[in-house]
Amino acid sequence: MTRELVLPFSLQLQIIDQALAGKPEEVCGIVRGRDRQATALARSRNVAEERTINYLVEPSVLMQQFVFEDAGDSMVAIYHSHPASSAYPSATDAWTAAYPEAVYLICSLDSLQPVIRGFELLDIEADFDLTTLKQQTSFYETRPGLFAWYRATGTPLPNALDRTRFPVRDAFYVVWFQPNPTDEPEVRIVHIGEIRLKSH
Amino acid sequence: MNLVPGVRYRAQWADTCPSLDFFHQKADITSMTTVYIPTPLRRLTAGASKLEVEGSSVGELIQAVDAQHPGVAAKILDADGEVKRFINVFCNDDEIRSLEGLDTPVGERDRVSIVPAMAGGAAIA
Repeated sequence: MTRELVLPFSLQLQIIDQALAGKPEEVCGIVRGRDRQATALARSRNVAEERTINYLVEPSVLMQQFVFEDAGDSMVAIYHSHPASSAYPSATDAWTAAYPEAVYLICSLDSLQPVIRGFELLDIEADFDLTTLKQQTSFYETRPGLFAWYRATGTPLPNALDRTRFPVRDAFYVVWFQPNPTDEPEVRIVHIGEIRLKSH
Repeated sequence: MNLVPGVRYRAQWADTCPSLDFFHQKADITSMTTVYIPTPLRRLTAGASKLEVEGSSVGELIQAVDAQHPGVAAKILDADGEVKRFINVFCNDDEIRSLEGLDTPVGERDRVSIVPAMAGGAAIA
C-alpha cells in the first residue's frame, strides 16, 4: 500500500475553513476519492455531545461511502479537527478508529498556522498481560473508563510486550476500556503510521 | 330460488375455478434484499461490498448474511442480540432505531446498509 494521499490544496483549504469556522468545537467529515487521490469532501455536522473535545460523524454522511463505491470511488479519508491540540491521533481516536482502509486526517489549530496531517490506524493482533503492562508503564485515563499507554516512536518496549509481536520502532497505543475495576477490560492495540500528504 | 344471485354466482365460481390460494402467498415469498457491507467487515465477506440475501426483516437479513459469512452478526449485534451502540444500520435512508429496530420489515427494493460509527476526540492525559 502506498503510504501517501493526494489531497489537493483546494480540499485542504476547505478542511481548514471548516475547522476555523467551527472552532472551538471539533469539525469532521469524509473524503471521496479513488486510488489514494482525494477528489471531494462530504462535510458532516459534529453530532457528539461534548463537541469541544469529541467528534462524531453523522451516520447519514458516513453512509455516502456506499454511494461513492457504487460510482467506482471510495471513502479515502475521514477528517476531523483538533482545535486546541496537535495534529496527531489521540488515544480516543485510536480506540474508536473503525475504518482501517481510510486515512485519518487531523487538522490542528493549535499553532500559528493550521496543520493537516494524515495517519493510518491499524489494529495489532497480539497477546500480552495487561496487569504486567500496567505495572511497567505510566498509563493514563483519557476519558471516563478509557485508559491508554502510548509507545512513542523508537522508545524501548516494556518487557510485558513480546518484541516479536509489536512494532520494533513505530508508535502505537495500547488502549483499554474498563468502566469499573471489576470489569473485564476491552483492549485494543493500534499502530499509528503517518501517511504522506501531497497536494498534487 | 336464489334471492341473492351474486352470492350464488360467487359460490359457483369458487367451486369450479382453480385454487386462488397463490394470491395470498405474497407474504411467504422471500425476496432478495441488498445488504451493503462496510470495509471493516469485508475480511469476513471475502471482500464482498454488498450481498443479496433473503429475509423479511433487518434482523433476518443480518442472520442470513451471517449464515453465509460466519462472524458478521457478532460484529453487529451485542450479547443481547441488539445492534451495538457504535454500529448504525440503515434501511434505505433511515436508521433502524427510528423505525422498528431489527424487526423493521424489508422488501426486494430496499437497501440495508451497515455503517460503523466514526468518532474520536482530543488528547486528554
